[in-house]
Amino acid sequence: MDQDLERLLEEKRQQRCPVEVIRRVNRERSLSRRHGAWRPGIVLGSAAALLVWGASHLWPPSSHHPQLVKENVDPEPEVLLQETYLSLSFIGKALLKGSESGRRIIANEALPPLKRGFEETKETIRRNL
Amino acid sequence: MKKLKITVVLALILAAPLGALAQTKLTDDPAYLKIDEVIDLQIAKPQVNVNLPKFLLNNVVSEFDGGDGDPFAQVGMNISDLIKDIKLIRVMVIESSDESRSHLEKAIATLRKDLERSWLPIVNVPEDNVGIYALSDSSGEQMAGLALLVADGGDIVVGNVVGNLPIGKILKLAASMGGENQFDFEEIIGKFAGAGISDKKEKK
Repeated sequence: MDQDLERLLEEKRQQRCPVEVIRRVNRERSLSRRHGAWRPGIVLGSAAALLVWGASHLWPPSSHHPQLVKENVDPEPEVLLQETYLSLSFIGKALLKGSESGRRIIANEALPPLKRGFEETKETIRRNL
Repeated sequence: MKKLKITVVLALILAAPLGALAQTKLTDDPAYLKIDEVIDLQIAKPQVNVNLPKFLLNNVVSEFDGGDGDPFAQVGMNISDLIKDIKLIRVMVIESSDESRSHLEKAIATLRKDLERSWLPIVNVPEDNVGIYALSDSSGEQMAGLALLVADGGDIVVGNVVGNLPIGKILKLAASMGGENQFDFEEIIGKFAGAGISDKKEKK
C-alpha cells in the first residue's frame, strides 16, 4: 500500500501539464489582461466626458445668455409663418438690392471709361493705318 | 507604463466625441451672430424682433406646408424645402432714440468688426450702408450662415441665418414680393406690423 502510494506520488510529481494546455492558459491570461486595460480607460473617459459636459452646461462661457426664444413664447403658428416669410423675403431683397447696385456701378462707372478707351484706341489705329 | 499609455489614449478617444457634443449648441455655431450679446434690448427696444430656431421652423412646416395661407406655396415654393438646412432665422429692426443712439452705434461697430474679421462680404452697398456676409462650412462647399447688417444713422436692421440658405430660392421669393428694393425702415416695420409681428408701441 505504502509502496503503491509512493509510486503514485512519484508519477504525479513527474507529470507535466501538456503544452497545449499551458499555451491555452497563457493565451486566456493575456486576453484577460488586455480586456482589463479597457476598464480604467472607460472610467477615465467617462469622467472626462462628464467634466466636459458639466463645464459647458453648468459654467457657460459667457455671463450674458442670448434668450433664443424669449420673443416667441407660446407663438401662434400663423405669426411664425409670417415671420419666416417676411424675414427670408427681406434677406432676399437685400441680396437683390446688392446685385442691382453692382449692376448700376458697372453700367454707370465702369462701362463708360471702358467704352471711351475702346473708341480712342479704335481712332488711333484708324489714323495710323 | 504601456498600460498607462493605452489607458490615457482610450480616455482621450472616449472623451473626444462627447466633448464635440457639448459644442453643438446653436450659440457655439461659428455662423451664429452674437446679436443678443452686443445689443442690450433694455436700452434699444426693437420694433421687429424675429427669433426662429429650428424647432419653431419645424413647427411652422408641420402646420402649414403647402396648406391654406402658406405664402410660400402662393409663389410656387415649398417651405420645408426652403428651411430644411436652416438652424436659426434672426431678424431685428431697431429705430434709434436719443437714449439708445450711442449704444446702437457702438453695437453696429462691434457687429461690423466681427463680420469683417471672420465672414466673407458678398454684397456691399456703401451708399445705403448695406452689408451682406456669408460663411462657409469647413469643407468650403456649403454655406454655414448668412448675416445682414443695414445701418442708417443709429437705425439698424440686423439679420442672421444659421445654416445653408438656398440663395437662388430666396432671390426668387424676394422678387415675387414686388415693390422697390429699398431699405425703408418704415416700410419694413410696416410689413411686419401688418403681420402682427412688429411692436409699434415701442417705436420712438
